[in-house]
Amino acid sequence: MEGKLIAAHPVDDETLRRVEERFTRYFGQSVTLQVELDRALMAGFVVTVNHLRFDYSVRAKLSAMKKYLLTQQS
Amino acid sequence: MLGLDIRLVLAYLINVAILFIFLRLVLYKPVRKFLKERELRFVAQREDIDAEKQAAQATKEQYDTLLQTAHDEGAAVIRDSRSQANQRAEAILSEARQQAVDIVERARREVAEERRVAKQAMHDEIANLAVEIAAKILEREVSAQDSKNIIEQFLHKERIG
Amino acid sequence: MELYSESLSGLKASVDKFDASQTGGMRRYGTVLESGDGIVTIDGLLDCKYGELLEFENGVNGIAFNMEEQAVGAVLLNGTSAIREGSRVLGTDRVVEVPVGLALLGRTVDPLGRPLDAKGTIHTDKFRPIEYEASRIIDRDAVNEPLQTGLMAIDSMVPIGKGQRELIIGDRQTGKSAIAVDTILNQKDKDVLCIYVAIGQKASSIARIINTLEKAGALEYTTIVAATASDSAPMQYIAPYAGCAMAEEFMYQGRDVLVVYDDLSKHAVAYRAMSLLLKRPPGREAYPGDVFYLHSRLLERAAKLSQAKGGGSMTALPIVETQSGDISSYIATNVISITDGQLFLESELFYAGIRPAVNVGFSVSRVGGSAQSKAMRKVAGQLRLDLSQYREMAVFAQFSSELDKATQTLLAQGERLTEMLKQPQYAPMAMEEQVVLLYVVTHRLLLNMPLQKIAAFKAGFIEYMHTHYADMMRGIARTGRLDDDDARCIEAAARDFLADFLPEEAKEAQA
Repeated sequence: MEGKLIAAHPVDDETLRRVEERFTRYFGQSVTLQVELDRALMAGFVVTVNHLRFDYSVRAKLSAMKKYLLTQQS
Repeated sequence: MLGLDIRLVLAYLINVAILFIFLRLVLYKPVRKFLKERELRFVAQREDIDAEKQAAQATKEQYDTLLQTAHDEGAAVIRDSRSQANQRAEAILSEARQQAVDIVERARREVAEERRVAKQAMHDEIANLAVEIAAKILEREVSAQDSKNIIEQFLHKERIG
Repeated sequence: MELYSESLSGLKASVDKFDASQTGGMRRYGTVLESGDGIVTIDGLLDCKYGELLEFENGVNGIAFNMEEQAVGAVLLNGTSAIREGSRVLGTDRVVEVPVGLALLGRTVDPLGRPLDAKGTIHTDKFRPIEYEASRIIDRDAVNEPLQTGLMAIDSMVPIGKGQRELIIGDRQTGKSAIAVDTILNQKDKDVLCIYVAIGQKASSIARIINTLEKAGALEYTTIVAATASDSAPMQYIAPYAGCAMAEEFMYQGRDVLVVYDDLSKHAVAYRAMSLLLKRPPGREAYPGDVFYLHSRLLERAAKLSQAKGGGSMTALPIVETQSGDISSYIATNVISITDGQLFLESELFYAGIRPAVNVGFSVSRVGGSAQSKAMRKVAGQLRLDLSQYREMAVFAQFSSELDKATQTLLAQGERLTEMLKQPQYAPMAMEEQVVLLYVVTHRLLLNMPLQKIAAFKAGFIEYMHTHYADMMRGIARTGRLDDDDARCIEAAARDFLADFLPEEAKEAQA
């Protein structure tokens, strides 16, 4: 399977390999990821593969926090 | 001699007697009868008048009582209506009083609602601002090390997704 | 200042509660292949559920409707122009839901539950899917409680019960929405919650209705769900289901709810537009094949629940607009066969001044007497009979002077009945008031009353009864019964009142 790894900061080859391996284990199929850079994530990364999106970025955390707070009663 | 003839006197006497008897039959009796009838008529009329006077009196009394009754009934109706009107006025008043209470209650609830809305708006504004500030700060504060940490954390997770 | 510290402490608590480690989850996504006319074809988005809510970029939402092998067809609920080919779509694992609960009362919302009035966010933690299975047969009870509309013509001859579905059908401008609004107004202090669903209406009309409800103090127990004519077809499509879900929440809590769907004709049209764009095959009148199911599954959710299930009820008043009185059109016949009766409104009656313009002959309530109080049943039985006899003879009314006495009486009685049943808007009448007036007219006590004076008589006599016989009126209202003593009181009161109201005619009647 082919997918993308969008990272906030540059990722070295070793790290890329380990991530690919983790996903290969998850899917049971060989996974290769293309690396992209996006500072807007602030920190962390997003992986999209097999029509599934794994968001581990700080931006996502902030967004989730905001959504949560705004649905709370004062 | 007097020249009186007994036979003439007798004749005259008999004449007068016959005239008298005749008159008595023809004039005296009917006239008397007429007079008597007239008197009877008068008496009867007088009796009629008396009776009618009595009847008129009775009717007048009847009218008086009727008037009195009508007057009394009228007074009773007025009293009745007045008390009905009072009752109705009282009912309307208490309804108005209740409405006033309701209005005050409603106003109180509206104020409470506005307060709640204002509090919520403030809460939401602060939340937005806080997250924005956090984002601005994080933008500058995060480093490649943080990214590395996140990746390491992820790789050590048992389950993903 | 205290407002500030209160909200601040609330926020701090929330922040503490927030579990940041829960973020960074996995979400299914797809990519837009085609987009046009509010319909989007998506590649990917595996395991998508039918009717699932989808998140597009820029806050645009959609619903998945076409499941094909390689693609998913979705309808956009808002922002159709912002979606471009290649943009990302996220699944939400949730079928479309709406917020429900008491927080909705007094609010005006769109079909997704987002507020349209300026009264702040709606804070509720309960959500319900808009599609839900109707209650089972075993969970239902027979309809046995009346739902008072406050309109004499309806409550007497075509009564509605709690849990019934009664269709209001007629041409445009015949007073369909007016009947619905009057019914909502009459539910004040009756512990019945109301939901008014506006589908495809002008925003100005909806604003007017909201204004009316607010002025009468009815808004505090009513929710308005609005999908105006400018909203997309999918929004108009889900609007009645959203309203139904909100009502269901209350119903399963044991409360009585009234839902008005205004109107289902526009709803069917919106569904047709959506289906044609989804390339579903058109059927009769170009409606899709499941347009019956569209309405049947909506209206079946209205029910009277058994005591075991809480004893709540949902009464539905769907509205259908006809063209030129054609009740044999497709949608009209569909909905007529689904509902438990219809109120048929006619333009002729309306323009003849008979308002509410209910055609009593064609209108029916399949629940009938069991939805009426005993008092009302007593006085209303004669009513229908008199009116039908009047209708038969009505054509001879011009020759009334040449007819026999019995027919003349029939005609006079019918005219007075018709006049009595007229009612102005926004003036609902309590049950006991209706019973008293109908008693007077059905016992032929008004035959000498000139027609123009009947309106004044109605108002005056009601006032008189409230003044002089307030206890009896309250008794009728409380027990729903009219015993012989009450009947005698009403007759005596009527004679007394008429003696003053119409002195010349009363003397004539006595002679």
